[in-house]
Amino acid sequence: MPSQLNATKWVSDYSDMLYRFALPRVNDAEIAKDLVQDTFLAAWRNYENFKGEISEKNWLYAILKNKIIDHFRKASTRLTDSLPGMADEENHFDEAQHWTQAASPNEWNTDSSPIEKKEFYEILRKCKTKLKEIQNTVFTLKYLEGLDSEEICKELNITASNYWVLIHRAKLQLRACLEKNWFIK
Amino acid sequence: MITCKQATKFISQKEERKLSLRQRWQLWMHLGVCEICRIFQKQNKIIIKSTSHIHEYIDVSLSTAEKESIISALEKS
Repeated sequence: MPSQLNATKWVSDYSDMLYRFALPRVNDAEIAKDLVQDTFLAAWRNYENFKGEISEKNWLYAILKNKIIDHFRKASTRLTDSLPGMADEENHFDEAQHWTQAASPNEWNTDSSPIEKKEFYEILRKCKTKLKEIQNTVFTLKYLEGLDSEEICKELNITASNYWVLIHRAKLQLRACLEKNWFIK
Repeated sequence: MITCKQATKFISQKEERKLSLRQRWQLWMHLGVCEICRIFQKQNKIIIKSTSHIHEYIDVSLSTAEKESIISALEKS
């Protein structure tokens, strides 16, 4: 154990920050907690490798990011089993491929106060938990982790056409969920 | 004229890669007459932009017991 480190201080300084980062990505409190603990353990054991070129905080973030991508990679084998049969069950469009009346986007009122902003993000997080796990995985890797589509296909072992279907459906669904729970009251 | 379903696909893809000249033309023609897809395009941008900031705004924390269990795992290791 590195003598200059104080476990209590570390955990009190950084655990909530790491948890807030992990939870909206993996959508599951238990998994998020485990990832946070694994991050601390990895950092603790490898503290001599920490060179101080980046802040301790960013170093921990970097370890956690790797753990999150690892988590998605491991889960992807199980998730991609169901890919070929994916039905277009969401019904955003009618037979003529126009928006159905119920699913048509309405204008949003986007000027909100800071308090409302917090509420908005909470709803965004909840809407994200309603995505199918594989959709969430693809969406998270793309828009929260900033990986590009080729990398994501490689990490998850999916085809480019699977990728485009998954990311597009995730966006359609998030949009509909946000509109229903936030913008139209 | 492309359908709304096709147009929304192009809108999604446009956020990540360049569409072909033909696709851009088809989308432009569609958006010229379809207000709903124009709204979709705008909202899609909002979603993508907000998503990357999600951890700055959400209000969750670990309980004292959960923190203590991490501390004891660290001290044991």
